[in-house]
Amino acid sequence: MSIPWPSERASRTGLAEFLLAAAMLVLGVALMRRTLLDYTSPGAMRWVLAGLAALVVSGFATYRIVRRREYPWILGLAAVGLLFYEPTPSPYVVVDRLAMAVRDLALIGAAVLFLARTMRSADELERRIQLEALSWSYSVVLVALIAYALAEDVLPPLRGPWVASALLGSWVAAWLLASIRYQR
Amino acid sequence: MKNRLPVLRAERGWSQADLAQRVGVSRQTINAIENSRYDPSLPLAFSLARLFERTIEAIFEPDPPSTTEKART
Repeated sequence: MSIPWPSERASRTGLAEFLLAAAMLVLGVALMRRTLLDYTSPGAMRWVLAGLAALVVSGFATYRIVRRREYPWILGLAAVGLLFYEPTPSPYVVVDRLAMAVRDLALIGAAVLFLARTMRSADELERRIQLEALSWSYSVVLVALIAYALAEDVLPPLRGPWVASALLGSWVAAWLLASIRYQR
Repeated sequence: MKNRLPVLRAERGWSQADLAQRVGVSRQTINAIENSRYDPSLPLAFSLARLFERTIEAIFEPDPPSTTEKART
């Protein structure tokens, strides 16, 4: 299985669903957070239901994108989702900690395996596109990080998931742009 | 770099996907080569030449040298 080109995989329907899923994810998370901060207010249940509805719509749109294997949009959604990712504190019980570690390792291992297999089976032009995309995204994020370092005193503390999100998002954008350049 | 791939492919009645499958690349790669958006690697050029039983020069034609290249020579 090789990396499909955005022209073949990243359809316009997929773009619309990606935008819908991303918007609903942002809205759903914002509504749920708002409710958690003020859960004693009389209208709290209404906000919870609205937040859940937004997340369900986001999940449905994501499911449709995943089913069609439109990888650029899936990665784009992952970049949006990473912005909201907050690691849960480690559980106290050792067995639970081990279970969590095994789960995380399995997830990361599956992602690495998928990437390695995909890159190995990609043909020469696909590899070139990925190389261009990755070098652009790395450079852009590097410059952004240096800019952040210069203004660190006045900016909020940087979180790991934000950097990961920026890398992922810029990779997808550069991937789309690079592949369009080789098409007519 | 110009090429005669569309002509050679049409002579055999192959689609871009057929040709891509025969030389082991994606259809998009064949499309990019045919539209002069991408120059194939030497191994891929040899594969195409072998498949069409031609020399590489008979399939691919380099762009004319630019004015700066001409001035250098």
